[in-house]
Amino acid sequence: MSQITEHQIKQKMLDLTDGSPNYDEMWNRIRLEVERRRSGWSEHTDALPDKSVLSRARQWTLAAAAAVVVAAAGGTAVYFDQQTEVAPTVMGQKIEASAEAEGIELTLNSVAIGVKPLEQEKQMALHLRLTDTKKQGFGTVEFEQAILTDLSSGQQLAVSQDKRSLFEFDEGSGTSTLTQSFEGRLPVDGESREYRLTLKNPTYSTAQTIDSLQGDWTIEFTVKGEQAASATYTVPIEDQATFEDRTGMKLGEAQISPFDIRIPVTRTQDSSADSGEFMYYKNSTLKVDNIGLKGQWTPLPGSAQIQLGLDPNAPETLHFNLVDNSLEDVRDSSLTLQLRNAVIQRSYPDIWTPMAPPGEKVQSISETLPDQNVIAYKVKREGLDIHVNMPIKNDLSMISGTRIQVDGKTYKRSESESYSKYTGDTGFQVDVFKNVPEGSEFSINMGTYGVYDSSRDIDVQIR
Amino acid sequence: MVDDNTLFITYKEDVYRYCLHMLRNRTDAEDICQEVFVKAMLADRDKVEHIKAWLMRIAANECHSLMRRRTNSSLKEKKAFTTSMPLRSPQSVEKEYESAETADEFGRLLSKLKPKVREAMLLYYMADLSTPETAEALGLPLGTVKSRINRGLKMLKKLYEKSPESPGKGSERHVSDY
Repeated sequence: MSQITEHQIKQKMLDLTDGSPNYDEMWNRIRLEVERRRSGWSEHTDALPDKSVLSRARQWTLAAAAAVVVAAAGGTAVYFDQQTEVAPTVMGQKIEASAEAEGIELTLNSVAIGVKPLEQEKQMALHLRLTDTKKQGFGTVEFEQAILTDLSSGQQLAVSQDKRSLFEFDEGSGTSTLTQSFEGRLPVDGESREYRLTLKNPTYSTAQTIDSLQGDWTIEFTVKGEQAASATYTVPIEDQATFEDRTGMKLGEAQISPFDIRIPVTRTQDSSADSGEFMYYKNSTLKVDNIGLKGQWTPLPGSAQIQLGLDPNAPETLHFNLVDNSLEDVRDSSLTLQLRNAVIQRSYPDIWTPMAPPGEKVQSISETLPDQNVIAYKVKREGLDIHVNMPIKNDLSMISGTRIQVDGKTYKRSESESYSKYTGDTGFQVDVFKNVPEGSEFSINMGTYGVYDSSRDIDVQIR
Repeated sequence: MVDDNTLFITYKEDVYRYCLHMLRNRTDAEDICQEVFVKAMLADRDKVEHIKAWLMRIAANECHSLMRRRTNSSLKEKKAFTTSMPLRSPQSVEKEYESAETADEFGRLLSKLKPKVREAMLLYYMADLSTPETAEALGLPLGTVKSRINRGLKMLKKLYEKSPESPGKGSERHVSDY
């Protein structure tokens, strides 16, 4: 066994690679960003996406672009001075109530009620901002606890989504903001309920220090159900002819809330999973201005696996999560739906490939299906169970899983124990069949699978 | 006070390498490195005595902040993945890093240390800060930092003995959590 000394470790640490990044390019971006922040210019929220909703990477792109425009145009009307008070976006019901302690003013801008992303349960989002009233140079501020109490019942509402009360500082606007969501008894249309929000004990950072403050910031406010829910609205999708032609489906009205965007999809022709035709798009993206939101098609037609937390009998819907993408207000944004890689169903229920009775030693079997897909199975017995392992390429998607027959009786895989893994372009599927008896005649069927058809790719302009 | 360009030229490699080996992702490391220097250039550096320790503290804070955000979003991504793509399993951040970001074996071993230990090791050995400066940069008591450095040293020695670099056993799999 070889030994390594502390001295050698230190040397290896000093020799750690930096991967040769482009430091010149980095310096240019830093210089531009410093110039931009020193100049006091920032993006106009009406003209460009709100910086606070963008990832840091996007912020860098925007920042560099902004600095270039300032340099070229000498500060055109699309920018305003950062000292100007930034009017908070009101989603739902405007509240504007504040509490101040220790030089930190907490303001509840507005509240919005809507259904949680991918779910039917409602939640209430509180849009909060902090003001550094003593100009102490706070950056990130995190409160230890956020408590929302329903004053009529005395009950506390549970925090939903992100549990942390972390205010992100936005250099552009000079404000720290947080959207914190709660679930529980919420006011319905025509009803008002009173609440008390208490934030406790923050930790904050400045450029030089990290410190904490003890105290409570408490705001009492009334929520009117109808007003708070007004942030949810629908947008009809007019341009549907090509979509219908390529899929045999129709898109319902886009349902837009502060938390997600849902687009119902309905089958107008016999294009269901059983017909061997179009099933769904593997990749869906909603472009909100220039930001792409990855979507989910739920429930996945033909999928035997139940998607976590989703009703398998719910109407088919495309979901785009705004919360995960730090977006909430898309009222002034263009919306384009991009659908890629249509999944077309294949199934050959009568093609059964014979195999020897599985033993502990792996046996390999292959079958060329009528669509020229060559399927290779590796089968073995593990105690009472049979395991079927198949390499899967990226252009094929398993749907129902394989089936095996033993002396004429058909067995389905265990959904809970079967699994798959992908390692890039290829992967494998392992179907586990529980308690399969010994027998003399064994055969295997591929089950239902999907192949991708990029000729059905389509862009649908929503707004 | 050193001017902005000298500040960048002098410390760019220390800051960037720290970010890269903490975040294990080149794009994130570039973003954070840039943010560190922007903050440093905008700050009043007149009263800063130990400029390198101060800079590394900003880097440590920025990396902490991003890693927390990454941890939260990773959980969300995992949920989204499980619900939408029963067949696919994305490469983990760890794997992605191992394959794409670190060609050197020692960097790979280092990535197996937990971030709390790794950050102390990087500041002390790679950025060559003293233990009080490392403690200051991480906002931790001196004893805690010394203990983490010792722990990191022991773990690295153990990992090295088992690594292909050493004629010992094969590598041990350990996924670090933040």
